[in-house]
Amino acid sequence: MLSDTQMSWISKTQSKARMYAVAGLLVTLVVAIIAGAFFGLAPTDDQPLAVGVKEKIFQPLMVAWLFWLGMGICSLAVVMLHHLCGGAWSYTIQRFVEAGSRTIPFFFITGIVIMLPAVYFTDIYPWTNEAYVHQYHIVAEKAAFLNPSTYTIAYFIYFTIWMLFMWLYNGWSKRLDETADDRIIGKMKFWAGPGLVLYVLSVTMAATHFAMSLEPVWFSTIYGAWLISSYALSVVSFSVIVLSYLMNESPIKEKVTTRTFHHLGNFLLGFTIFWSYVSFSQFLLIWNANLPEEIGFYLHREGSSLTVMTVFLCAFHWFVPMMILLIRKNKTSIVTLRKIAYYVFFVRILDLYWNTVPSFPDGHYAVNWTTLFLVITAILGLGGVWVFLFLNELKKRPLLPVNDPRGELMFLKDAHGHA
Amino acid sequence: MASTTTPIPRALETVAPLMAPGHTFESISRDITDVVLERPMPRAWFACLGIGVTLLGMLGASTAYLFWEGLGLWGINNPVGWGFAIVNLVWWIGIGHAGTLISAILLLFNQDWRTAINRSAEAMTLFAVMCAGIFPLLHVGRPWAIFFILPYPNTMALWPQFRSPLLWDVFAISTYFTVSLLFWFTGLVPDLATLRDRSKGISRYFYGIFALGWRGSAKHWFRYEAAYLLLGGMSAPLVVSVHTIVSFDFAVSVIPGWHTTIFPPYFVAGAIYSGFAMVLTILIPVRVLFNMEDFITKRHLDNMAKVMLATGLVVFYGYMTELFYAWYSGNDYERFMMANRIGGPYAWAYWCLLFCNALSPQFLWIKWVRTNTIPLFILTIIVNIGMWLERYVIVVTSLTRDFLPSSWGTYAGTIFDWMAYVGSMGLFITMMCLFIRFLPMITIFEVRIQQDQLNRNEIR
Repeated sequence: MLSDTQMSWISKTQSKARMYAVAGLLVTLVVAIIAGAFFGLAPTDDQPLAVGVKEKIFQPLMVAWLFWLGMGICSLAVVMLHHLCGGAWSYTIQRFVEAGSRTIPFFFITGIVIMLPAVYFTDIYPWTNEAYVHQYHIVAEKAAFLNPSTYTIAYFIYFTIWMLFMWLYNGWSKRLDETADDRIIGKMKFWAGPGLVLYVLSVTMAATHFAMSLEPVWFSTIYGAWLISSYALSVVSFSVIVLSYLMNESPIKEKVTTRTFHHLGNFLLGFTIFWSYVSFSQFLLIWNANLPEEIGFYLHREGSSLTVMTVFLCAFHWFVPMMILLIRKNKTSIVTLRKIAYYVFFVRILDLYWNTVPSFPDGHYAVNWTTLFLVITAILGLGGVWVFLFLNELKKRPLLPVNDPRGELMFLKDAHGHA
Repeated sequence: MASTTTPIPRALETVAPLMAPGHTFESISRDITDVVLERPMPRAWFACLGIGVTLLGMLGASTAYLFWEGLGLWGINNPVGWGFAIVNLVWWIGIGHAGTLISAILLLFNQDWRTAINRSAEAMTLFAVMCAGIFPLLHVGRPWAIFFILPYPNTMALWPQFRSPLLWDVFAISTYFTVSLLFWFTGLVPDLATLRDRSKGISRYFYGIFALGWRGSAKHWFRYEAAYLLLGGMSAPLVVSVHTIVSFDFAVSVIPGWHTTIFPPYFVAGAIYSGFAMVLTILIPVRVLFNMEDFITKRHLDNMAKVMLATGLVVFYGYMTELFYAWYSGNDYERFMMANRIGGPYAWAYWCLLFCNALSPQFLWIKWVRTNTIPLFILTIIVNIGMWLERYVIVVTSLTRDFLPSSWGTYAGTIFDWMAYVGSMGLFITMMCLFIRFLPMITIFEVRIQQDQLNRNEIR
């Protein structure tokens, strides 16, 4: 199945991941407790939301959970996209994203430990706080959607959809490897369309529940597209990284050409531009209309250090990666592309910080350096666990589909260098 | 090189080949150029041209009368300052998106099937943008002063409002038209040379002039490929930017139903959706009339139908997000806007729109519909109507009933609105007929390259 070099890379990475998991989560907990106990915010008449120890622990964990959730669910989307469109770029990373999708149950369980308690036992979601809802009539109007029971039921519905398709596609993929029955490919193609429709709808709703409602007065109809494009960026860049380490040995070696990286680089470029397009459209429209229920989102993100962060994101989440990825030379060399992928993957942390943390009462108007630190350690900690599980899943199956005739065709076309 | 004897696995079967078998380079050139150079035009072509010219005449007459009498002839009134003109503008611009998408984005995505359809789709783009351009020109009321929209230094120190998306439109649309024209013309050059070489008499000179001295040398091809790829790269962002800016026309305002952040991607998807519908509306009869079924196969129809389904679903997603977030906003005006769409005086338009744009494309999930010309043709007509209604709903429901009930009104297009709208279709039909008569509707040399690749089993 996997060669020795590949296995040794995997086990080496897994032991590193274990270390990150333990260290990251421990540091997060300790620092969060200290920060919450000594620098927390007590509720006042103007600001009914508390930020105590509970909030300090849950805030970074939620952000980290949202960050990694994409690696599970968007991997599933890429699996389905591959079966819908086919393509050489997705063929070589198919087993990575399949393994990624098999980690969705991990998010289901950690979400029950992180997201649901945050709703029931903390003030992080303002709509759970009666005084706050009393203050904002407009939030009371949304109570049918924003209440703990709907949130919980919706949580189970989202995960049912995701886990159902995860189970279907991974099952089919395994059966195809074993039986070479090409009727399975028909099924994979057939369900990819409806699956992606459900994915987009469920992620839009989940984005509203999990993230948009942190700022419950505000709303933006493009928000789902923002999260979808963000997750796509994470998954494609992560796949490039994994591919770069595993490609020197069979079976991937025979299938990978410079054009494969070129395609993957183009997708990184495409999603970088789409992310910027979505983020900028949202900003321009809300800034220009300047409506009281919408502009708050951007006002909370205005202020010395946060403005710097905004500009930083414009420059380093959009302009710089876009310019680098426009150059073909950078996409055809895996070493360069891997560096870019690492960069894109980590700059996503700041975007997620920017979109979530300034919604918390102690995150308004300026970068909260403690929370930023905690977000990073939580992402490293939770990421350690996730990477460990991901690699566990990855080594269970061959690195490329064994009996998928479509692979030959894609390879053929790319080998000829047809443009 | 793949062996030609291995049977094709079922998973790789497609609905039809990219091109009918048995063609040679010579037969490709002959079949495509004969439409222009040898064969008499079919009767249906004369009928279409007749209809086109008649409608164009109607546009001319109604426009002349409009200039004489003024904008009062149209149905626009105090709450509804934007009526048919903006609806038609957006509709036509949307239709103009398929050409560049097929040519540029599918080029960058290495989609082989674009080859047979890109030329006519690009031509359609140009004509649709021309049709779109008429309406703002007429809507300003004083078309002789239209140059005021251009920022040029003048003695009055008068500048346009740079913060207005209407001004961005001027730049976006004119850039789009220019780049599309260049892109289309660049792609035409090698084929014009083919026409020059095959034609006799006076037409030889005309094709010769526009062929720019093309001799097909390696250097020519090298420069051509570089220029085409660069223009493709330039057009790709334009596909997105033009309709994004058109959506900004509405979305930067504070009018409920107009101001919503999903508008940019939702408009772009809608544009591609309606563009593909129009390409299919035209190509389905054309491929039969001019015996082009060998080149524009069911595979092309199937693929275009799939793009329509995908973009149609994005549009549907747009409707659903509008609906949900209107409620979620908790804002009385947003909620009223949605209730007014669903049950107000223009509810018929909203429900028709949902039928045309959200329900009917769901039939495209069925392969039989995608590969059979008659149901597909009917569907494309429905989608064309639906996309017009979409803009009508957006413009009219939001303007007739905005914040103050005391300033509510109603709106309906007058006969002159309809004459301008239907007349613009006359312009479009006339231009399409002339294009088919005088230029190769399929890119000859690209189909020949494709034939070579098919022979060598590089593509299927």
